[in-house]
Amino acid sequence: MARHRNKRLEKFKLSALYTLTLCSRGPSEDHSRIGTAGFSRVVYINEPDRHQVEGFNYPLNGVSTTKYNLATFLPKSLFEQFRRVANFYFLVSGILALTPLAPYTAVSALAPLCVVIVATMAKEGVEDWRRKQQDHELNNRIVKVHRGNGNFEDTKWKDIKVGDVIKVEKDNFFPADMILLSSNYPDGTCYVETMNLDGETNLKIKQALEVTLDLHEDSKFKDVRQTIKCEDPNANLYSFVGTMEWKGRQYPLSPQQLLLRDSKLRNTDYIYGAVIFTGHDTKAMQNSTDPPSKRSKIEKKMDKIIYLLMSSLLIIALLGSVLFGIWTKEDLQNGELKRWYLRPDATTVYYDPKRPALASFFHLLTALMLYSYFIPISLYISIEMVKLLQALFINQDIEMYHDESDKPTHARTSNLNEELGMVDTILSDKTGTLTCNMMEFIKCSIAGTAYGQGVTEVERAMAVRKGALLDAEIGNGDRRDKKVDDSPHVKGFNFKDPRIMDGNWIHEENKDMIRDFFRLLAICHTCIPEIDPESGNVSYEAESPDEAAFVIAARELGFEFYKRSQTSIIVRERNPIRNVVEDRKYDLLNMLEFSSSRKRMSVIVKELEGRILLFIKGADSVMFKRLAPAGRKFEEETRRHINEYADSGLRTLVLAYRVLDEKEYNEFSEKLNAAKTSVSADRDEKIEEATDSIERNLLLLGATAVEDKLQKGVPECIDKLAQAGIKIWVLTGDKMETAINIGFACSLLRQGMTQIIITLEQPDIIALEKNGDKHTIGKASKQSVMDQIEEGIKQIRLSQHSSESFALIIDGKSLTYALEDDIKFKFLDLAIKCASVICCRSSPKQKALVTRLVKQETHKVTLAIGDGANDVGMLQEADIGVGISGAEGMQAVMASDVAVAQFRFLERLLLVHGHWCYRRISLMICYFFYKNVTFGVTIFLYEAFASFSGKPAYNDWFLSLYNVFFTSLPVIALGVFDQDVSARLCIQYPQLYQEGVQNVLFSWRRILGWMLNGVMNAVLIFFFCVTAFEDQAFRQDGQVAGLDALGVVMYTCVVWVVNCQMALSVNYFTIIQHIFIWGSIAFWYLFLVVYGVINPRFSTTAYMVFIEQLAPALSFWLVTLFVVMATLVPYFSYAAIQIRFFPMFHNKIQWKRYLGKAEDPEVARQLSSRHRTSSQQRMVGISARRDGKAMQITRETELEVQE
Amino acid sequence: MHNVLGECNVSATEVSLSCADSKFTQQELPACKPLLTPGIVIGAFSLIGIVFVPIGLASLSASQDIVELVDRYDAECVSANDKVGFIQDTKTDKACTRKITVPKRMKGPVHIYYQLENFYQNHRRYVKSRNDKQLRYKESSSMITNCEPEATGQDGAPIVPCGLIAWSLFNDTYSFSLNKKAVEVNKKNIAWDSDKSKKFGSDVYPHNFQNGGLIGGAKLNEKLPLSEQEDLIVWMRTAALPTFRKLYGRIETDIMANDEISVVIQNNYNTYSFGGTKALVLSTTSWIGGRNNFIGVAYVAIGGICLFLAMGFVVLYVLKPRTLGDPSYLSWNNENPDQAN
Repeated sequence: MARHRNKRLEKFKLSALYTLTLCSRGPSEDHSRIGTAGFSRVVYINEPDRHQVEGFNYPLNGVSTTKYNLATFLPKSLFEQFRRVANFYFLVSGILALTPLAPYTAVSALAPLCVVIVATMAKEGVEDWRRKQQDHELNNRIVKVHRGNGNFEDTKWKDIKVGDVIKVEKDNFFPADMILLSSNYPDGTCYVETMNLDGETNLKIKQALEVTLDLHEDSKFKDVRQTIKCEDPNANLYSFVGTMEWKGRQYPLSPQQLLLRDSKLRNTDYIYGAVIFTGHDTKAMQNSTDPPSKRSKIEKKMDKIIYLLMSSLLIIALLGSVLFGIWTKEDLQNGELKRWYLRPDATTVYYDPKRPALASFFHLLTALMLYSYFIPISLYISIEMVKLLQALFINQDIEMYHDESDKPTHARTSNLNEELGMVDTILSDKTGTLTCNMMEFIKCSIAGTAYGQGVTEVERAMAVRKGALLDAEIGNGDRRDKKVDDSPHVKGFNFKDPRIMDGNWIHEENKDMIRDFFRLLAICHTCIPEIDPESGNVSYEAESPDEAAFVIAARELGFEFYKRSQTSIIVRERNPIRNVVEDRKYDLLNMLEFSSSRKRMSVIVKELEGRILLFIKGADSVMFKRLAPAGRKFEEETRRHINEYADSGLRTLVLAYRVLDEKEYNEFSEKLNAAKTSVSADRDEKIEEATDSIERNLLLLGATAVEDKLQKGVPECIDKLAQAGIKIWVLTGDKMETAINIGFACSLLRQGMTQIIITLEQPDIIALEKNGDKHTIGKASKQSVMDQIEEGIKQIRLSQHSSESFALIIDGKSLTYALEDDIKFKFLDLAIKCASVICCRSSPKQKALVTRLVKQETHKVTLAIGDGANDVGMLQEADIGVGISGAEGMQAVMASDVAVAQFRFLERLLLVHGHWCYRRISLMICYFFYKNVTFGVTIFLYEAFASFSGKPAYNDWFLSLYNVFFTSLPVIALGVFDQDVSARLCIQYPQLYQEGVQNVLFSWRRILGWMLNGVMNAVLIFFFCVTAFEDQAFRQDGQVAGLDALGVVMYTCVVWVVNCQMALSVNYFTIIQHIFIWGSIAFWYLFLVVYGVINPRFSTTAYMVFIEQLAPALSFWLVTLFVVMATLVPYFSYAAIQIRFFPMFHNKIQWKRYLGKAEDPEVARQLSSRHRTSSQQRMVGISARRDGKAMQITRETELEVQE
Repeated sequence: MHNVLGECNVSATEVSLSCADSKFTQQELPACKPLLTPGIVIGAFSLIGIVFVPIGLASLSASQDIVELVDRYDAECVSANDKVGFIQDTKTDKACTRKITVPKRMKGPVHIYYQLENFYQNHRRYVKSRNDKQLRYKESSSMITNCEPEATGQDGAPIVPCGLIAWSLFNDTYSFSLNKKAVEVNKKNIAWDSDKSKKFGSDVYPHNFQNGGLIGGAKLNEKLPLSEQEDLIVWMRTAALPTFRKLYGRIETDIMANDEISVVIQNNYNTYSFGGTKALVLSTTSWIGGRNNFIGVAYVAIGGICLFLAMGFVVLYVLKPRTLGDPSYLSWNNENPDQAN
C-alpha cells in the first residue's frame, strides 16, 4: 500500500527489469545553447594542464570550509568580537582609559577586556582549527587518477584537476563531478547512492554514452583525447547540459552521465569518469550554503537588557555630568574661589569652571567609563564557557548514548542549549527519523484466521502505559516476555506463529489458501534476487522496504523467490510433506504496475500446470469492492483483522487472486496491447480500462500487516513531548496513506479524531489537469485549497466546546498553494488549532517553508528533526535543527545544531537538558545583571557624595577584578550544575517544560525584579556602611576611616551579599558550589591581605588597609555581618513566601520531593492534571489515545445499556 | 530539617567509568537541595533574631558609655561680617577662646578631632593631586606629576610635598587648659604606622612649601622629615565623605565631670569660602570606636524584625497550612495531616 517511489526511479528500475536499452535519455534540453553565456565550460579530457594554457581558470579540487585563515584570523575575529555592542563599548572605554579622563588606571581597565577577548578568540580559533582538520581529511582522501600511458596512480582529492580521468572503485565516494565514461558492466551502467545529496536511499542508475563504452580498461586511456562542452557550475542537481566531441562528432550529455561529488558508487566494481567540475564548482558544494548562525531567543533578549542597562547608564552619567557642571561652575564666581582647595582658578580643561559645558562633556566620558561596571564584561565569555560545558554534559549523557551505533548525542553548536528548553513546535521528518525505514512482516490474516503473535511498538507502548496488570487486555501482551526468543532475527521479518511456520501450515484447515497466499507473496512484486555466490543465500534488491518484507516473509515461510528473468519467475518451494525443495517456474505474462491512483498491483502468471493466475495485492479501499461474490467468504473477519492491524499502527494490504481461462486472458492481452500501442491521447485511459476489466471477480485470500518499524521508544517519546505541551508536526515526502499510518503508529492520530484532509486529488481538479492550461488549473487548485482550509476552520469553530480534536493532513500539491502569501496565515491558523499536523509528499523546500512559516508567524521556538539531506533546509530554517546520526548520510548531521542517534533521545534532550539549560542560563543572566547592578549602584551613590567628580570608592584593581575573580566562578557553577529537580522528575513531570515554552523564568518581570533587587541591595549596603562609619572613630585607639577603609568595607559587603544571594538562589548544592561560593569570599580576604602587603607603589590605596586598619577593628566585622544579613532579609522573606504560598511548578515538585511523594505516579498525575495549560495539549500521544479508547468503550457500553 | 539539607541524590548509573567520574558527567553528584521549608525559614529568622539582639544591645551600651563633646566654632570665632575677608587677612589675630564643660567623666586618652563639613577631600582632582613617589623617596623630589597647579614654586623649583592635598593642609591649632592649668596634647601616633614607615620618607624634608602666591594652609617644619609630620600624614589620608573628622591629638589624662576645658583656637583655616563648618571634637572610645548608636540600633532593629518575621511565618503557616491555589493538597490531607510543618 505504501511504497516509496520516485518517478524517475521507476523508469530506471523497469529498465533494470526488462531491457536496459529503454533507459531514458533524460530530458532533452536545448543543446544548442552550448557555447553561449552560461554554457561556456570547455573540458579537455585527459589533458588537465591544457586548460591553463587556453586561459580557463578552473579551481583545484581542494575545498575549504574554514571561516578564517592565518592572515585574516586576527582582524576578522576581532571584528566579530567588537560587533557585539557591549564589547565595543568596552573597547571604546578601554581606549579612553589611556587618556587623563579615566577614573582608574588604564592597565586595570584593559586587563579584563584583554582576558575576555583573548579567551573568546582562542575559542574561535580552536573551532576553526577543527573545521580545517575536517577539510584536511576530505582533501587528502585517495583516488586513482590517470597519469598518462594508461597508468592510474593514487592521488589526493585536492590534487584532482578538471579533465583528469578517474577510476573510482566500489563503495567509494566520487571526488568531483564527473562524466561517466564506462564501468565494469558491458553496457556502461553503474549504481549510485545519492543519500548525501538528496537523502534518497534508493540506488540510481547512471549510464555512459555508447561511444565511450569500450574504454573499460586502464590501458585504453593512453591516447584518449576528447572535448566536453557544458554548462557553467550551478546548484541544480537534476539538470545538466553538455556535449561530448568524439572523433569529430557531437554527442549530447545529460544528467544520465553525470556523477556528482559526495555520492557513492554502489553495486558496481569500478567506473571510469572524466572530471568536469572540481572543488567549489561541484554541484554538491554549490548547494551547500553557509549554515546560518543561529542565536537563541534568550541571547537576543539579553542584548535588549544590555541596551536597557546602557541607556540607564547613560542617563545616570548625564545626570552626574550636569550636576558636576553646575558644581564646577559655582566654584569660581566673579573671580572668587569657592572651593579654593581645588584651585578652580588654575585648572585643566576637565575641571574648568569657566567652561563648565566642556568640563561636563569630558566628565560624561569619565562617568561612562566609571559606570561601565553596570555592564558585565565577562557575561559573554562566561555564557560561552557555560554553554560549552553544558554541551559537554549533553554529549556525555550516557542515557542519550546509542549502544548499537556507538553514537553519543552531539551538541554541535552550544549556542542553542537553552533554546532546547523552550521548544514549542517540533517539525519532524518521518522516514529514518520516526521510523527506522525498515519494514517487518509481522502479522497476516489468511482465510479469516489471524496469524502472527508479534507485538508492535505501539502495542508495547500502550501496554507499558497501562501497566503490567492490564497486559491481558492487549491481544498478545503476554507474549512480551517471549521477546527473548532464541531464533536469530531475520531483518524485515518479525513473524512468529508456530501454526504456519516450519511447514506446519499444511495441517491448517485452509491449507490451499495458505499456500496460495504465500505464493502470491513470492510472485507478486518487482524485486530482484541477488544470490551470494559463496553461501548461496538469496538477498533482494527491492524498490521499497515493504516489498522486500513480503519476499523475505515468503522465503522464511518456505517459498523462496529465487530467480527472475525477463519472462519467468522461479520460486523454490519447500514441500512440507515430503520435506524436499522443488523449483517451481512461473511464466510471467503481464505485470500491472502500481500507481497511486490504482492503489494495487497485480501479476499474471502461467503455472507449469497451465493454469493462468492473476495475483493481486492492494489497499483495502479498492480491493473489497473487486471481490467476486464467491470470494467474499472471509470478508467480515478479514475486515475486522485489518481494522485491528491498522489500529496497532500496521500497514495493511489485501491479497486476492483469480484464475483466468485462456480465452479470457487472450482477450485481455489483446486489449492491453492495443491500448499500449495506441498513440491517441486517451491511451492511459484505455490501459486503465483494460486492467480494470481483468482485476475483477477476485477471490479473497487474506491480508498482510507490515510494521513500518518505528524507532525504539518513539511512541513513548512523542507521548512525553505531547504531555510537555510541545506540538508535533510531521513533514514527510511519503504518500498520504503512509503518513497517516505512521501518524496512527506513533499516536499522533487516533480513532475518534476528526481528520481534516486537504488534497487536490479531487475529481474536478484531476479532470481539469487533463485538459491542460496551467493557468486555470492553478487558479482552480488554489480556490479549492482555500475552500478546504476555510471549511476546516469552520468545522473546528463549530465544535469548539466539545472535546473533539482535529488532525490536519495536507499533501504537497495543496501545500504549494497553502504556502502562498495570501493563504498562508489562514493555513497556519487552521494548523495551530489542530492537535496534530501531517504534511505529506512535501519537497525539501516546502519543509523549509513550513518551518519558516511556523517560526516567523508564531514567534515561538521551532525544532526540526530529520536524518536526510532533504531535511537540511528545514534543519537550517528552524530555530534548532536536530540531525539523526544513526543513518549513513551525514548531510543532515552536518547541517544540524544537535545530532542524536535516535528520535527517542529527544525526550531527554528537551525535557531534561533543555529544561536545565534554559533554567541555568536564564538564572545566570539575571544574576549576572543583578550582581553588576549592585556593584554599579554603589559606585554611583558614592559619586553623589563626591560631588560627581568621578572618584570611585574602590581601588582600581578592586574594580577590575570584581567581575573576574570575586563573583565569576559561582555564577559559572550555577550555569553548569544547577538543577531545580532531578532528571528523573523532569521526565516524570513533563509539564515542567512549559516553564521554558512560556519563558516564565526570563520574563521582563523577572529580569527587572532581579535588577530592582540589585538596586535595593546596593542602596542598603551603601547607606548602612556610610552611616556606620560616618565620621566617628571606628577603633579603640581613635582613628577614623578614610576613603580607603570605607571602600574596602563597602566592597567586602558587596562581595558577601552577591555571593550569599547566589547561595540563596542555588537549588542544587554540590561540593563545587560550596567551594566556589565560599571560596570567592575567602579569596577576597586573601587578596586583601596579599595585595595589602606588597609595596605601596603597587597596592597604592589598599596598602595595609585590611591588616592594619580593619581586621583588628571589631566594628568592621560587626558591620559586615549586619549589612549582609540586613540586605538579604527582604529577598529571603520574599523567597520563603513565594515558594510556600505562590509556588511555581518546579517548586511544587520540590515540595513533593521534600515530602517524599514525588515518585508516586498518582501524585504526578494529580499535580500534572492541575497544571495543564490548555486542553489541546494532550490531544495526541499514547495517553490521549488510551483516554480516547476508554471514552469510546464507555460510550459503547452506555449504548448497549440503552438498548 | 536534617533530611532537607542532608538529602543527597544517589541514583546510580552503572557505567564502566569510575563512580565519581560518572556521577560528575551524568550530573548526579551528591548534593544538598535546600528548600525553604517552614522549619528552615522560621529557624533562620529566629537564629538571626536571637544572635542580633544581644549584639545590638551590647553595642548600644558601649556607644552610650562614650562621652563625645562637639563644639562648632566657625561662626563664633569670627566677629567680622565679611568672614572670608577676615580669614584671608594674614595680619589679624585669629585667636579665639572656647569654654566647654564636661558633663561626664572622660577616661583618658581623650581623642581630639577637628571636624570639617562640606569639604570634598574625595573630589577626583583633589585626591589625585599628590605624588606618592615624591613623598617616599628623597631622590624623587622632582617628581611632580599630577601635582599641578601646586607642583612648582614661583622659581620653578619643585615643591615638596607637592599637590593640592598637602597645600591645603588644615592649620587651625588648639591649646587646652583644664581648670586654668595647661594640658599637654600628645600629637604622636595619630597617623597609621604603615603610612609613616612606607609612604612618607624619613629622609624627605619639606622644601619650597607654601612659597607660592597663594597660601593654602599650614606650613611645615622644614627640619622635620615627612614621616614625622603626623598632621600632614593624617590629612593626606583623604576622607571618604564631605563631612569628616581627623585626629588632632590626644589628652592622655582623665577629665572629671563638671571640669571646664578652655580651648584657645587659632582660627586660620578658610572654610568660609565654600560654606563649610568647623568643629572641635573631644571623644573617648570603647571597643566599638567612637560614639555611634547606629550599629547598636540597627542590630536590635534587624534582630527584632527577624523575630517578628519568624512569628509572622509561624502564624502564616498555622493559618494557611496549604499552599494557596493548589487544591491538590486537599486530597492528601487525610493521609498527611501534619505535612505543613
